[in-house]
Amino acid sequence: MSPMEFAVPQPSTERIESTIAHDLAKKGLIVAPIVVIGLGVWRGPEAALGAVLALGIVIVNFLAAAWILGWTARNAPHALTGVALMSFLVRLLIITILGAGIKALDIVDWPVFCFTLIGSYFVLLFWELRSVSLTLAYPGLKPKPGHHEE
Amino acid sequence: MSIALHLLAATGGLTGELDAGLAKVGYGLAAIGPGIGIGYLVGQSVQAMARQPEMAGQVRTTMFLGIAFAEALALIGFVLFFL
Repeated sequence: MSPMEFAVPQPSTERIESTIAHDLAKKGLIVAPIVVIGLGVWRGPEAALGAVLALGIVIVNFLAAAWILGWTARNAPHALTGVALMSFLVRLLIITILGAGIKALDIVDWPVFCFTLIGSYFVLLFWELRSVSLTLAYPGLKPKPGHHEE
Repeated sequence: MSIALHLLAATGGLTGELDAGLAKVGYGLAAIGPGIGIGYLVGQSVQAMARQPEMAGQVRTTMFLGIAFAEALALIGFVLFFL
């Protein structure tokens, strides 16, 4: 490379958002049986169903957000702001319609559904935040498969 | 204000309608806040990625988590609206 040439750094093409969301979903699936069985024993099958639906909504919401934002960041970064806002609105609309439908059907313990939705969202997010901040602070903490230090 | 609300409730029996209306306004406000937050957050992230493309990975990581936290406010609004 001559002194006048310089390498233009390319944007990352890694599936960062999907990795975070899959990790979150795994943690959600670890927590789900404990929450569902616990609430089912405490408040009955309607509460268990409410917890299942709330956890499902939270996990699918994370996965959908990650897929949309990741795809846009890789393929059309100039549209990231618009896509992020529109996806937020559309997902909120879908959650509202689902919530209204579930409430109208009256098949779940409604307070349990609501508090599981908020509680699981925050618990999973803080749990993931802890892992992510550790990874960012100590990038060499988890060696990649097949990587051996000389 | 509260006296006016009490008068309205006493004269017209509007308590339920008022509650429903206030809940809708609250839900709207709870959606606007995160919308502003997400717009600002993503705008700043795009700027950071344009300035330092080699840091795009870290910027996207923190952006995604920031968006998730901002959305939590809208979810709280959703729950309060339906409760």
